[in-house]
Amino acid sequence: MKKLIRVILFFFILLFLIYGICYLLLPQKNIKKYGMIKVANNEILGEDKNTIDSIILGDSLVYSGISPMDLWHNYGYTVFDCASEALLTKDAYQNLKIATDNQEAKVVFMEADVLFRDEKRMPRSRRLKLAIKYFFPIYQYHNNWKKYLFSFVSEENKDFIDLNINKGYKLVKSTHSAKKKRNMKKSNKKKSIPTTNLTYFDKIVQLSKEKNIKLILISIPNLEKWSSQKHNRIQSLADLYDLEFIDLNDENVISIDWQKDTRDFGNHLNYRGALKVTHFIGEYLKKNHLVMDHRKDSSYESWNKSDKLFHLK
Amino acid sequence: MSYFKPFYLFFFFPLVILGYYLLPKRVKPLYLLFCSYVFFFLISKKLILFVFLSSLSIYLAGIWMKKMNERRDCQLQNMEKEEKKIFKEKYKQKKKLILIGTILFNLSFLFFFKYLNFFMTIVNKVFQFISIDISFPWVKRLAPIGISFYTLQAISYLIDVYREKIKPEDNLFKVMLYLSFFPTIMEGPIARYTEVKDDIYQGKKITYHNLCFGYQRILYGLFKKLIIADRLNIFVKLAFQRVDIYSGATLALGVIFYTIMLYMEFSGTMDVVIGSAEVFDIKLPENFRQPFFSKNISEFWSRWHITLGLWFKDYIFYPVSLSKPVKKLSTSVRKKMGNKVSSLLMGAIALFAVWSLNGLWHGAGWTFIFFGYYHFILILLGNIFTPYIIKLCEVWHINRKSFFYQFFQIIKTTILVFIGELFFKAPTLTVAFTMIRKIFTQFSVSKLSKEILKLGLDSKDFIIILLALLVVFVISLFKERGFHIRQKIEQQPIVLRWTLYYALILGIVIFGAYGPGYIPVAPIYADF
Repeated sequence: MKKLIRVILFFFILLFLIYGICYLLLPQKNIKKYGMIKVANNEILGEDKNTIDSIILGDSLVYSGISPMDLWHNYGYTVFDCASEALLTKDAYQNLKIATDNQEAKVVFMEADVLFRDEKRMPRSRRLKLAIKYFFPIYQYHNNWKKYLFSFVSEENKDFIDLNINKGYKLVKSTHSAKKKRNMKKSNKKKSIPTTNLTYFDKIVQLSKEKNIKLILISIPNLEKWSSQKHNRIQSLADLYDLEFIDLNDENVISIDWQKDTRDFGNHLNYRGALKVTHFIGEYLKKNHLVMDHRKDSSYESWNKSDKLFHLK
Repeated sequence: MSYFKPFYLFFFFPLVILGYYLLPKRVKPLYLLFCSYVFFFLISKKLILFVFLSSLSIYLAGIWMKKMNERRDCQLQNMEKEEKKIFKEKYKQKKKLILIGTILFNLSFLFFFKYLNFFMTIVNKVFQFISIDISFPWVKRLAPIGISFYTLQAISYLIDVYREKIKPEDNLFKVMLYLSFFPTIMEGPIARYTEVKDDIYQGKKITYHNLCFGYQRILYGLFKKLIIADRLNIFVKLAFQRVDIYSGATLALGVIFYTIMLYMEFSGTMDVVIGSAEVFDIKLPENFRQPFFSKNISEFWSRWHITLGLWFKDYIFYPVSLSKPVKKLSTSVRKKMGNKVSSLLMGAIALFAVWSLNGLWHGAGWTFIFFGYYHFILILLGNIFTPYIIKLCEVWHINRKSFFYQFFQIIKTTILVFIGELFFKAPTLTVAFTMIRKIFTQFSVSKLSKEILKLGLDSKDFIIILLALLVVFVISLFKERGFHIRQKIEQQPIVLRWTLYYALILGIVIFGAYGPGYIPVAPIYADF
């Protein structure tokens, strides 16, 4: 019994220490209001209030496919990728709720493929990984030790611990060419969307209306998962809610070279591919006068700092 | 799944411990077998059939040989001495047939999954050369996990039964557990039946001491893998991918880092494996004994992947060197050229067999075969020249036991190991030779200083690597001097002990190369 108590005590202290370190390494902003776990899982909470003009909701396709720092660099738009691996529609709703609590975004792009992800079909190992990432935010932030230690080697600005320099984007420059070509057969069929996802999508639409945000459905180029059936289903959903749907998997809209623009054989875009999608988004926002150029605004100075650091990588 | 995945560390392994702890003693080994098959199934799915077939084949062959022994012993009782000899020989031949048949049966799986494509490529090239228009397709086959390891274990069991070194097991489940025990199934160590049978089948209790010691060892493995190996992986990957653009000095650093990474990955895995078994009070054989303190290549291989080396020694080296044709050849050479040459030749033939198979075991490719012969030549040269070097040292009054001489030997051996690992890692022999050429002809320190921070690691990463390597070095030095560091820690007051454990865990959590931006090293040896 004594030994059992000892084991429990050991793990209790360990948990306390891990969360203590988490607190040190995590962005400090908004921790009091939202708690450590929410701040860790919603990187947008590290941004200053009402500075983000556009939010992109989605999964790995988004954080591999749209580079906000290039949108800032070329257009001066403040865009944030609110994206995480294998995101579910219900979590997309939660993310939007948290993001719009602090930001007065004007446009929200929602990646359409997320709507087809069925929670019940998700492999257990992936669920476990996501749970670990969620409850142990140190998984994402442990590398922030570099901002505290060994500053004699290279000085990194400690203020940047609060900021995500990439604004949610995950930079990968390597290329692993796709081994096949796009073979999207035309079809009139529609792929079904799980009912729970439709319920949460409805909530996303209502929240956007409530906050006066323009919601746009978008599909990011993907060789493996996207299909004509998915396109048809999303188009009908967009028609139903009177939303705009931009299908970037349509080769007439954007031209992706699957030999050079992918990091993992056609599953996700690399930086080269992401620049093409980013350019499209930038031009779209510019053409429709949806957001403003903030590059000359001194209150956005931290974006210029992030820009410099991002383009050093 | 690998031993470093959260699924194993936080879910599978704790669940196995809990179940094992709660179950009664007699069911514990069966439970371990069940968990081992679940583990295997999670990785290799239906290929689980092959590990079962291997277990079944060696079990049946063992029983068959046992029955033959019993019949032989029974019949021998009423025979004359001369008759006994003939009779024994007859039985030995029959047993040999069973042995060879079962070994071939097991090797056929290994050949099919691992080597068929390689040999088909050779056959295709030969056909192409002699203008025969036949080509065998290259078919991607997913091999059962750890097939190279459990096949060697199966063969060792069979040969030991044949040699009557061990009694064959009557219980099929026990043989199945011996081959598939989940901590060893992926990357070994290649345990002999005699080494584990007493521990594995007893269903010993999980004690507080074993739990602490087991987890201590697992943590040390995680430290090596997550802080050092996975961090170096970033640099190594880029260096070996872009041999064309980097300078010789950067490539040399890539080779050094690869060797360190390989050692940290494999020995770290062994720490997790041995630690996992230790929790159940099962002692597995060690696979590493501070290999980078070796003074020559032979010694290196007696400290690196020890269980594989011992396997080759017992089941290839001795049988080949004591085989009739080699003995015959040795006798005739002895008559003409003397004892020294004869024993050198005998050793060389056996070594050649060992290193041909060793290279091939590591992989079906020319780089691996070259890797094998590279070591064969180094060891052979060592055997030939060592007596002369000893004499030379005596003549020149060089103290071979002095620190400087021994340090020089260690450095020389380490450099030779680096070169060997270059061939081991390079995708083709052409790339390997290009790297060697660049290292020796384009070695520029100024270029290295420009390139070093462009391969994914920053200066702070290098500091962490250096500090972690220093920790491993100090621990290795203690071990080398026979200082039992774990027992010493156990004797410390609880506050000091726990502080040390927390420092280790938090060190791994903070400085580990995991999460966004890092790609962990895939279990290198699990592919062999």
